[in-house]
Amino acid sequence: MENDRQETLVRLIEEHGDRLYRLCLLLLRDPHLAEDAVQDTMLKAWRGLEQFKQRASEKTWLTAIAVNVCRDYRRLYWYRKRLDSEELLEQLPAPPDAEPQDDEVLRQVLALAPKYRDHCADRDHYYGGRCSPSRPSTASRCCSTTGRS
Amino acid sequence: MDDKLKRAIDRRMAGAALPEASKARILQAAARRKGRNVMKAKKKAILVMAAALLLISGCVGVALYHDSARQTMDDWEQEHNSTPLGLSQSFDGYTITLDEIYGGSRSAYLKGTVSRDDGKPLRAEQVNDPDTEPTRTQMNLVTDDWSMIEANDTEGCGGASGPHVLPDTDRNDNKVEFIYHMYFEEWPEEYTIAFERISYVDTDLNRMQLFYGDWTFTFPVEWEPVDEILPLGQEVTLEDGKVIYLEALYFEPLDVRLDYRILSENDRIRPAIYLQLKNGERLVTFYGGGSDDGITYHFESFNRGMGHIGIDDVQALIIGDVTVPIAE
Repeated sequence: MENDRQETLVRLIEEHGDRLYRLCLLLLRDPHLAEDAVQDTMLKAWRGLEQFKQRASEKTWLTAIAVNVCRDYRRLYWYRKRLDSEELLEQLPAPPDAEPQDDEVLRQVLALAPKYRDHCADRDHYYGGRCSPSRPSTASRCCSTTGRS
Repeated sequence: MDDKLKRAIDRRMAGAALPEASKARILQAAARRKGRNVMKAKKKAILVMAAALLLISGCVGVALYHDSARQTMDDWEQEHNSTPLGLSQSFDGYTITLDEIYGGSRSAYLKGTVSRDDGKPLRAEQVNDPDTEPTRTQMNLVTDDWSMIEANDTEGCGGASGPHVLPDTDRNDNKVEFIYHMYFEEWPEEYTIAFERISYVDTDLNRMQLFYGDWTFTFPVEWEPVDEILPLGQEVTLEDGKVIYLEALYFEPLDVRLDYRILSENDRIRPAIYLQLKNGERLVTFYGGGSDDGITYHFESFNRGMGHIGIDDVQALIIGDVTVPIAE
């Protein structure tokens, strides 16, 4: 039983770790904090495995936990004083297929106020669904980089 | 959307991967927690109902913030004796001690420390904004509530509880002090508290430190309750028709607590409640918890560093638009 749980955790880390890390980076703009957030997310998920009823996909479930963890971190007094998204861009390795304008897109997304970045996390590639036409406000915010910073 | 935007973000972030060291840390932390995930559904429900709520702190006419919670501690310690515990647990480079306990009939306050085993200064960020909150150390001490319920084998632990880390008076030493507030309807003969996570912002490194571990303590409940209890035993009807039964006020070592029930079945919304002091200050509720069977509110004398509040300090209890006199 305990071995099964351990194997499940290993699988969750392998299948979702990188994606969650990127999500947390987007929401927190800090690589160290993003690592901690993934750790918190994974341990909370692992601990709550028995309560996961599979009404949502595993991806959706983990993403929801990660978003909540990141929101908790952002409430830190220390975090509220940190605004340096440029630093993150410098630390983030640029993949070979990245296009010249990608830096600017990411820079603008990172410059958005947290609530708008949360909407970006609400999108199909993080939650496993699609941007819903029934949630136009969400879709328009996550699809636009013109929000207030 | 804008698939273009999505693709751009994906492309640019594709190089970011969770470091292997981080994956190993997760597995290590999980291994430490093995066997600590047992939970009874019924007990879980009770604890969820009892989750502490941070309430109303920005109200008009509230009490002024004082220097720090230390003032309340010092005030109390001058007049009362605590019960010594002298317990210590080390895990992964950090030691938690439980030094003494201030025990009431329902609430108890543990006084302890968190320290670095390497002896280096533990410099957690201090929150010091007199306009918004009193000085305190920003450190999060998380307890494993499910394990605590199992260990204490009781369902009566509803209510508000949590840590308060005191301002760090010596930035060069390797520790900080904390007060942990606990609540029980009926205390077990011995109590177990399990800390599972320490996190704080290290101001030297300018980054958050996060440690998962197992700092579990068990100690006998041997204190003579030191709180004063003022039975109220009365119903009040608010202007909106809501009926509330006031049970009692507990003047605890470091806070004041009100137990009450909302009798109106169709209106469970909690009213604003204040404690009017004779010196003119008004205490707001700090946190509360409870279920349909009863609600507890803690007034934040401790958190505001106001010193110990006793029965003689209180003029009235204010519930919504109703004032209930306390002083003769």
